[in-house]
Amino acid sequence: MSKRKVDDNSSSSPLKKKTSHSSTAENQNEILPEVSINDTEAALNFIKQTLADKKRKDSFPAVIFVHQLYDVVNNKTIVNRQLETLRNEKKIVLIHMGSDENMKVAVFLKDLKDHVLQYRNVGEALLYNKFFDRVLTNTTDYGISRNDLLIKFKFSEKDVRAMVNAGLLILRETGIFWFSFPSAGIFMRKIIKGRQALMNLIRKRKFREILQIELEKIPMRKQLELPIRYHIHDLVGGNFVKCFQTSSGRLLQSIR
Amino acid sequence: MLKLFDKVRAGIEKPSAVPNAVITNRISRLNVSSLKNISPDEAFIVSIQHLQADPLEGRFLLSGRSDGSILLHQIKNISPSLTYQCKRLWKCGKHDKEGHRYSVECIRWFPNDTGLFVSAAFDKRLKIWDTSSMRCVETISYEGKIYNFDLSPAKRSDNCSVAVCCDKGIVSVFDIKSGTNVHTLKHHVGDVLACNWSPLDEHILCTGGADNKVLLWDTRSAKNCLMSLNRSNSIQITISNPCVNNFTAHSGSVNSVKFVKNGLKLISCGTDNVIRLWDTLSGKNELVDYDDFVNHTKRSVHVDISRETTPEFIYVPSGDTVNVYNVATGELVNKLKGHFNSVNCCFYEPFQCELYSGCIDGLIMVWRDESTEVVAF
Repeated sequence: MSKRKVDDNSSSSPLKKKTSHSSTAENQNEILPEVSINDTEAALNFIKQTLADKKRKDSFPAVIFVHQLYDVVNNKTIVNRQLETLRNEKKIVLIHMGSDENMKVAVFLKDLKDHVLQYRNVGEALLYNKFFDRVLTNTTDYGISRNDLLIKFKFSEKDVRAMVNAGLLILRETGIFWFSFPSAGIFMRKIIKGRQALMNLIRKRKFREILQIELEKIPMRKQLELPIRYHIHDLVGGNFVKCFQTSSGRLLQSIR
Repeated sequence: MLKLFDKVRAGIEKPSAVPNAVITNRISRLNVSSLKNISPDEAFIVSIQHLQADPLEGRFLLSGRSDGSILLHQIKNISPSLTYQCKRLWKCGKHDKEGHRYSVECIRWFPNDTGLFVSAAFDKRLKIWDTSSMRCVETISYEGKIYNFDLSPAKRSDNCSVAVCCDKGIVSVFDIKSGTNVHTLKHHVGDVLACNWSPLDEHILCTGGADNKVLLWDTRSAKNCLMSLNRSNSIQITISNPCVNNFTAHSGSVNSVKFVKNGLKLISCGTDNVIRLWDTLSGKNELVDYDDFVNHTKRSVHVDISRETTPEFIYVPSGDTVNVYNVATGELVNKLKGHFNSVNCCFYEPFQCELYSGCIDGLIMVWRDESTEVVAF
């Protein structure tokens, strides 16, 4: 009985608070159309901001999934092309996460650099700088071969090992490294865990759908280690949920 | 439309813009035809693998089926009545002496006249048929199953070569005039599922295979392929030794390739549910995103493009629908729903602005815009 009472209280409290929340909800609604412009760099910065909202110390730099951008910018072709130009301008680095074609991550080169120099072994700063300035600015691919590293860029075996330890390179096949970022595994674990938690929540709803504003209000501190906005962009852009525009904001419906 | 007439009168637009606009308008309103239909004539279901109407006047429709039979229908309505049931003119079944034994995968008319057509099947044979006597005049045997072939557009009218895609990575070029295999193109690993000749240059060939690669060939060069297309747009390793690179165009097998925009661009479809647009000259991925595309077929899928329309459209079988995309922007223009099972092939017939699609459920569907016809009578 006591439990029920608590439930009743919790369910009634949002109703009471609704009036006070409505103003903030409107504010939140206003943000979204503002960024639905055809500029991928702005979209990248927008999603990056959602990560920076919380005062947390992450062991990984601010990374953005490419499919999260599809949620913000309507036209996928524009996103793909602008990412390509940004990559050619050496502003961002595109990183493959796993063998799945859709799991691509974009990170600003400056962010990656700052993060590595701040948190990693300071004694090897010279090596990292060399890596950023020469390797990442001279290749436009997801990876690099060992031969190129050793011969073209004149790294030693020990240097390569140090960079693998720092999480900047990851062994893909024999002799081929893919670029990566520090603590990529922790990041992936967090995102997958959060994605599952949110999907379970939406699936258990009536008609498997929920308003985005409602979803953002649900306290899920424990399940979600990343900000909820970041997760919602991930769900919508990655085609895990369908998205409908209603008069009271976006409605998210789980597929299948 | 009225604006366009004014523009033509003022000389801003060419007069040819009017038929273009009319065709584009018609094509954007395609729907299942209620006036014209092709009835399935078997009691049991036989999958349609490929179909093509003749290139001269769009009067005869050839279709190849999975039981090895070839059918010829008359699709042009020359009677005054609006409704038209397409007549079957000819059939060559599995048990006929000259027929194919296994599934007919590809069937194509000779590009210059209706005197010839070519068919290929899983029984490892390529057959050339004469339409005046309706007999097979030549049979060529290959070592492997034939998934697809294409006849070169042949600007010089007498010279027509056939690129035949077999399994085990072999593409052989067959010369119809001399009746011999003139060239074997070997680079693919695994089955070759798709090929298309460039309309721009009659020696340029594009092939796609189950090894996820799309290769461009020049049949005059004996060395190797021109280039292997790379989806991630990194620097192309130069052509001197393309064997070294393991660039892939898709992350699933490529089962359709088609030149668009008069051979300047290339479209490829893969089983990774992605359509990609490539620049033919530089080999770069154009990064256009074609949304909502499903493709799980292990065999080749036949796509087609619209002719003489201002934005070019491409018709792609996608699951049980046919998707119509704008080639340049990747926008999904129309989704033709009507089939009950996965669609294998579609063919755009430019003379009457109709689309024909063949499906596993054995139906050939006619898609056309009938809103104007009903109003006119």
